[in-house]
Order: sequence, then structure tokens, then C-alpha cells
Amino acid sequence: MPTIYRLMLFYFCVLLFFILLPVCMLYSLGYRVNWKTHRLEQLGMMVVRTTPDDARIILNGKILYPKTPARIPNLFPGEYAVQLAKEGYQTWTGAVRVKPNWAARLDSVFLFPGEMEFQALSDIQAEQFFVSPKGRKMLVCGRLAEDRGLWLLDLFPEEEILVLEHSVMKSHGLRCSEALKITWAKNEKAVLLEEGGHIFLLDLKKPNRLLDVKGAIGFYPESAVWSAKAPDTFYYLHQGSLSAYSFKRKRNQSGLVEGIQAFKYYDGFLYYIEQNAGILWRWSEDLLEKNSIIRVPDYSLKNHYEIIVNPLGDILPPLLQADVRVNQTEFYDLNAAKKFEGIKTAGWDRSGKRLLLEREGELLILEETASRGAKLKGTETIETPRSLRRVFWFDDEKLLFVYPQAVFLRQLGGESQPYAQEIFRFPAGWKEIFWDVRFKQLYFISQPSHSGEGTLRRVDLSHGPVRAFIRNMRETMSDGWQFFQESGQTK
Amino acid sequence: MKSNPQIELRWRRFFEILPGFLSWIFLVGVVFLVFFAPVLGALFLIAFILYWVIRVLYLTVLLVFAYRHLRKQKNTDWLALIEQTCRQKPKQSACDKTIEEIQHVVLFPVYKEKEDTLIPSVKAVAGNHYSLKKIIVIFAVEERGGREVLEAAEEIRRRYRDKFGDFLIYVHPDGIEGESRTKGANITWAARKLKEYLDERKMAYDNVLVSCLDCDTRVSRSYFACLTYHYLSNPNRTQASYQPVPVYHNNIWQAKSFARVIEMTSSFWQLIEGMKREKFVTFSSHSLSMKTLVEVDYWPVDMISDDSAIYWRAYVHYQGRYHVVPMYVTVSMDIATAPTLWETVCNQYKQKRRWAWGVENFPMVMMAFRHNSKIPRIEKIRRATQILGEHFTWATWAIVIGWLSPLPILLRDYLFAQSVIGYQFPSITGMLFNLTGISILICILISMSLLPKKPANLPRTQMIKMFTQWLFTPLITLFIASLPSLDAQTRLMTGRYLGFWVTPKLGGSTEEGVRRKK
Repeated sequence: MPTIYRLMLFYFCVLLFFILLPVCMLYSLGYRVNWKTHRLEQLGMMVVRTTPDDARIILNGKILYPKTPARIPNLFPGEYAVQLAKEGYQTWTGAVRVKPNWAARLDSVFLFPGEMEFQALSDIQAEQFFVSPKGRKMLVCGRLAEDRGLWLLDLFPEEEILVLEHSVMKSHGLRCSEALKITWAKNEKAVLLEEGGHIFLLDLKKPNRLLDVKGAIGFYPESAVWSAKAPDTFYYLHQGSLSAYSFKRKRNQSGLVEGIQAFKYYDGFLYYIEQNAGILWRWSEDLLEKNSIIRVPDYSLKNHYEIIVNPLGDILPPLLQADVRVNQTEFYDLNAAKKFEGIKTAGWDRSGKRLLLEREGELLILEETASRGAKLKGTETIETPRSLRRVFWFDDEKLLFVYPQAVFLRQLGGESQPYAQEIFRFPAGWKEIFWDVRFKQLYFISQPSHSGEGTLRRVDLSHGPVRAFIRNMRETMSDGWQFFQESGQTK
Repeated sequence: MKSNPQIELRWRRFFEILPGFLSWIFLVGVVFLVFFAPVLGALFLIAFILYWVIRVLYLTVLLVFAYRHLRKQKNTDWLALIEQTCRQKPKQSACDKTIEEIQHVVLFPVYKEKEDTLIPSVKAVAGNHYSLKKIIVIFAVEERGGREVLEAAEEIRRRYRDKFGDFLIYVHPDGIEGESRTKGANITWAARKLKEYLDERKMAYDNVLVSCLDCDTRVSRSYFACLTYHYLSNPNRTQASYQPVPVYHNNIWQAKSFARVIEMTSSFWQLIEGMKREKFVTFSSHSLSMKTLVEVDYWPVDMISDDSAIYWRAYVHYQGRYHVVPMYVTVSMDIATAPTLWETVCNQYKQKRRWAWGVENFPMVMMAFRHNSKIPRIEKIRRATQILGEHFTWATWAIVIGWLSPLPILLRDYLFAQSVIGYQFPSITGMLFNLTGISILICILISMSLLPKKPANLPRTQMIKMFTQWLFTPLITLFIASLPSLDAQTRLMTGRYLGFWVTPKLGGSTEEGVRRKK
């Protein structure tokens, strides 16, 4: 090849490079020619994902070719009316704003069945119910035919057993009312019942045999929590002293930790505020050692404290993990020494990254920042109507809003486009609602009568792997069924 | 002015460090850019990939032309061409010497190779369409190779001596001061002995063409005729080296697939380089005039890359007026392979690292340029940039394309959050990469066309393998393309100089190799 031709080819390639380079770069940054205005404009795009997949996308009334999950490129900036439709599911409708050089994400849109099933769990006319931590069992205070009392209900599959007859409850001063509190042991085999300061222990393998805690340790403690490490042991607080009682071994260990003003036990660690000193400590159940975390600002012996432990339960970074609410109306971020007033409730999502603070008329979402000495920063404020009854974390990015008539799903902002979506309407009134975040089951007592009893129902809001897991659980023998067979207590 | 040795050493170290430093800085810089300025990093990667794709397409065009050249010249009667040229243009330089005056010397460096490697190479020389009496064969045997090797060489000499003008064996003593254990030291020793031989016979150096061939090199039948033509027709014949096209066909049907692909791309690279005459440098087996050899003081005795170093020596010696003439005839060599896949990978890696060790030429050339005032400055800059650029590209391109360009895709959620480029990047780069499919297809077609005849006892499915083996290209890109070069540059940078690694030769003809494998 003559050199001249080779040089011509070489310079042609150089020219080609310098022509194509800006074209590629502009293209990758989202620039396109608007043939209507003959101008170069920077476009945006939309990323849509639904659970389940394969939903049709309708954008401004036009059906698009790809189904979800889909990327819709080359969108001029502006607001788009979006509908996501799939047969057998409710159509999701919302508006998405597309900005230049921005991929608006409509991530993890949940499509719910067109016909929601309000499954009646049992024939028990329920007044109250208490779901176990693992979500597989429930204790129901109610009446089935002539039998009244405390029922143990296996949720997958649905089987009920009367574990505490009404007469036994009554004889111990317990009744199915709002005052009754039940705490499950981690292994779901025992519970603590508390009412009016009286605490009893019920081994679910031994129905109708209540253990009076006072009889075991000599007094009714101020509070009691189950150990996460030893299933037959619970910790109790009395006059500032933490002790432990094992009901199987009938052994009491008193004075494990002294000088406690307020405490929270979580997964093998006890977080407590030391009386008078106002120091927040963390005590390890395994090592029987304590570490100081921080001095509580504005500490007062008269204050009532509730420690909101992060689900990660990790001491590092320590200041993030233990947050304090003062006087039940203030939330105190110990990291930033920042106060949020008028807070009614506070709760972390499962990932431990976002905290929800509920206030009159609004919700505050705080997020853990990635910086050192992690702090919480406010990421979103959501105004809420007065009719809102309960708020739960649906998952790490969504909230479940429960109103008297309906349940809504609210997608938080951030990387995804925020939206609100009605999931279902209650067929009738409801009382007592519980959200099992792990299995995505909503439990409530519907159609309560004058007596306060109603049918215990469940709505399955799960998808994908969770739904498959639940189906699998239903098909295998439940623990409860097995363990009752062993104890010979089958109904 | 006498140069200060300390200063010279510092300069030398500086030039040794520079290539590796630039490569590493570039790679680390790209990583930093991707993580700390992801949009800029993505744009840079797009620019790099675009540059690379256009470059590949450009090189593919050159390859096609080079291949056409090779095909066209395959059946050329070179000797007739010389005569024809002289008849038509008697004042051409080709006519101031006759073919009969030209003496060829074929120099085979031998270390531990035995008959199964050496005999086919000698046979190939003997099978040339050229007067064998005008060919002297020399075995340059390393003393440290052992007695067996020498005996084998002697045996071959006894068998073939009568065919050639002469058949000499020179034994290179071990442990000569100032020499490293390199091929260059061995062939230089032999060349000095050759000089004495030529002096005794009063043979003019510019009538002697020395072809330094690896001991597994099998020249094509028209090699010497072609070489003679190019030598005689070159007006600056003694200020030139003559470079054939290396192909790796000796054991191509037995070698591992990915090794075949690597070596084929090496052949293609030499074909392409031959099209760029202003940059062409000798590689592996090559030929040059004895006069040149003597004037530049032979090959370096302390460098591994003697094949390219001789070019640079001559270039500096002749003040930049030295060039390489591409000869479109092939010389066939062994593919670096081994009984197991892992050993083959290791051998390939080591061989490529040794080739990449040619980066040692950079400090040598720069030091020579420092003390040379006759080569124009612009020329020095051009050549220095050429060497540096080539090694820099070699060490970095595959790492950027294979390892770093997927980063924006893999870490999109972390790096780009929601900017459009995070989603466009894969489609744009994918589209650009797809364009290189044209090049791969052309490479496949050319490689199939260049293949030697399939041995009869191999199944037909072997041909399918020759096609599908190119699927290894991405894997090769990831591991073999740049890493050996980066390794070599890093060693040079850190002063951990490479020792000479002898490529294991399996030996035997294609047919023999197949029989042995079975």
C-alpha cells in the first residue's frame, strides 16, 4: 500500500475519531436532536420495575412495546402519566417527572391482585391478638363456640389450640382487654402475660398452667423481657436492678446490673441508662460486660426514657445505634445532639438505615448518613391527614398507611420516584391491626361487634420469593403441630 | 566532555522507570476517575473505546492490504525478477552485483534443542529454491547446553554438510565477562567467528547476508531468493534489515486453541507493522548484511531483546538512516505450548513477557540519543514517542478495555445514581465493541487462508475448531494481551531485570507431531 494512501487512511481515521467523539459523548449524556425545534436537547429516561414483572407500560395514554422491567430512553423533560397494567392485578397509576440527564426511577412498584383476599384465619371471635416474633404463630384472645380464653394459632397452616382457658385467666386476674400485654419468647414456645403490673409465664407446651412470676422470684417486677440467647430465661427489672430467671431450671440470678433507669434489650445486648449518672451503657449477655456509649444530654432522673435500638444492633458506630426519646414527646439523636419535638412513635426499617418519626400531621424520615460518626439526616417529610391511624414500614423504601377505610402504599423519595398507591379497602370496620414485615402479612380483627369481638383476618401482601416461601411453609408440617404431637396435647 | 557515570546511571534509571510509571499512572488514574468523577470517567472510557475501535478498523484495513501483498508475492520467481529488473533498468542498484556474488549465512542459535527441532529447520533451508552451495549454515551452540546437544549438532552437520556451501558449528563458552546468558551473546560470538572465517577467504562483507533464525524456524522455499532480490534492489542495502513474516505453523494443528489465536495475532501484527515502514523494527528471525553487523558491533550481548536491539543499534550508528524492509515471505516457527493447558498458559505468558521486554530498548535508545547530535531532534522525538507509545499502549489497552470499562456498568448504582450516562454507557460501548466483530471476522478468514494443509489423520472437526477458537479472544484480551507487558515494564521500573527464558520447542513436523500426540 503506498505510503500516501496509508497516510490518507490514517488521517481519515483521525478525522472520523474527532467527528464521532463528540457525537458519542453527547449521545451518552442524553442529548438528542429535537426535530420539531431543530435544537439539541438533553433528554431524560425512565426506569420502570414492577413486582411481578411483565406489566404493560402506558405512557401518556400510549402503550409502549417493552414490558417491565424496562428502560424507556429518549424522553423529553416533563411530567408523564404512567400506568402499569397486568392481568389479574390492580392497575398502578401515577405521574413521573422526567428531568434532563436524569433517569427517573419507578423502582419496585408492587402490583397487588385485583381481588384482594381477606382470609379468615379461624372461627375464633377475637378481641385481641399477638403475633410471635417469627411471624408463624399467634396468640388470640377470643371465643370459639363455647370455649373462651387464649388460643394459640399456627399461621402456616392455620390450626388453633386453646392454651389458656378463660376460667384460668380469670382466676389469675387476666382478661382479654387492651391492658393485657403478651411477650413472646424467641423460640415461640413460651410467653409472658402482663396485666395491671402482674406478670405470668405460660409454657405453651403446658396449657392452662400459668406460672406466677411473683411466686418464682418473690415480687412482680416492673418489666420483663425474654432473653434472645437462652430461650427459657427472661430478664426483669426491679428497683433499678436487672435480674434473670430461668423457668426451666427454676434459677434466679439477681443483681446482674444495678442502677438502671431505663433499658432496652435487643438480641443479646442490654442498653440502659444509669440512674443519676445519666450514662447510656451497653451490656453484653454473652460476655457479662458493659461498655459506656455516651452521656445522655439534658439527663434527668425524672424523665421517662425509651431507647430505640437500631435493628442492626451493632455498637459501631455506637452513637447511631442507640437513640433516646425523652418524656415520650421528644426524639433525641444522640449523634448530633439534635432534638425532634412532639414525636409520638419512632421505628426503624428492617435494614436499620432509615428511621420513621411520627408526629401530629406529619412523618419524618431520617436516614443514616455514610459519614464517620454516622448521623441521621432528614430526607423526607410527609404530611399526613388526621384520619391516618397507623404507619408501618412495608419495606426499606415504602410505608404502609392504614386508614379506617383503606390501606395505602407510599413509596419514599430518594432514588426512586415517590408515589402513593391504594392497595385495598376494608370490607368493613377493623380494630387491632398488625403488620408482619417479614412475611408481608397484614392481620386485623374485622367487623368488631359491640362486645369488641370480630373475625381475625389476614391479607397477604407478599410477592415473589416471600410468597413462595409462605406457600412452602403451608405445605410442610408446622412447628406447633409437631411440638404438640410430641407433648400429646393435640386437639 | 566526559560524561559523569553517576549522571548517566540516573538518566538510564529514569528512562527505565518512565514506561512503567506512565502505564501505572494511567491505569490508576482511570480507576480514580471512574470512582471520583464517574461521569468524566465514563466519558473518558467511551472516548478510549471509540479510539480503540477506530484503531482496530484502521489496522484491519492495513492487515487486508498486507495479506494481499503476501498472497500476490507468494508465487513470485524472485531470481527471474532480479534478472528482469536488470534487463529493463540496468542502472538500478540491483545490477551492480550478481546473484552469484551473494553469499548467505544461516545462523541458528542452539541451546538445548535436539534433532527433532533442528533437523526440520535445516531441511527447510535445504529445500529452498536457491543454490545451496551459496548457503553456509552455522549452529551457534551454547557450551552450557551440554555434550548431548553438541553431539546432536555434530551429527546433523555430518548428514547435511555436503548439501551446503559449508556447515559450521561454533561453541559459545559460558561465563564470558560482560555477557549475559542471552541469545544475543551466543550469536554475536558466532558472528565474530564468522568474520574470521570470511576474512580468511577474503569475502567482502557486503556480499554476505546473515539470516539469524530461531532454531525452530523453517524458512519458506523462496526465502533466500526473496532476500537476495530485496538486498540487491535496495540502494541502501547495507543500511537495512530484512524482515520476513513470522507465522507459527510448525505445530499449529497440535497446539492449544487459545495459543493458536495468540500467535496468529502476533503474525498479523507483524504483517501490519510491515505496512508502516517508517516505524518497522526487526522482530525474531531476520536478515542483514555482514557489513552492517560488523559496523554496528553485532548484537548486544547483555540484552534479551537482541532482535529489536540490533535495529536500534544500527539506527543510531547510521544516524537515523536505517530501515527495515518487509519481505512478504513466511518463516514458520513453533507455537509456545506445553502438554497441559496451564503450562501452555504459563509458556504463552512468559513468551509474551519476553517479547514485551523489548521495552528495555527505550532506555538504550534514549541514552544513545542523548549523546547523538547528528540525528535530527524531530526524528529523535518521533522515534522515542513511537517506542514509548507502543509499549504504553501494549501495557494498558486490554486492561482498560477488559477490566476497567465494565466498572461503570457493574457499579452503576453506586457511581451514577440516576444520571442517564449510567444507563447509556453499556449500550454505547456495546455498539462500539460490536463494530470490532468485522475485524475478528476478517482475522478469522485470513487465518483460515494462511493455514497449512491439515494432516490427513486429523478429523475434519479440527477445521471447525480453527474457526471457533476465536471465541477465546475476549479471554485472551483479559489475561494475556496486556498483563505480560505491564509485568515487563514493572520489572524494568523496579530494577528486577528479566532473565532469558527459552521457549520450549516441541519439535517435529506437523505430521510427526500429530503421530507423537496420538
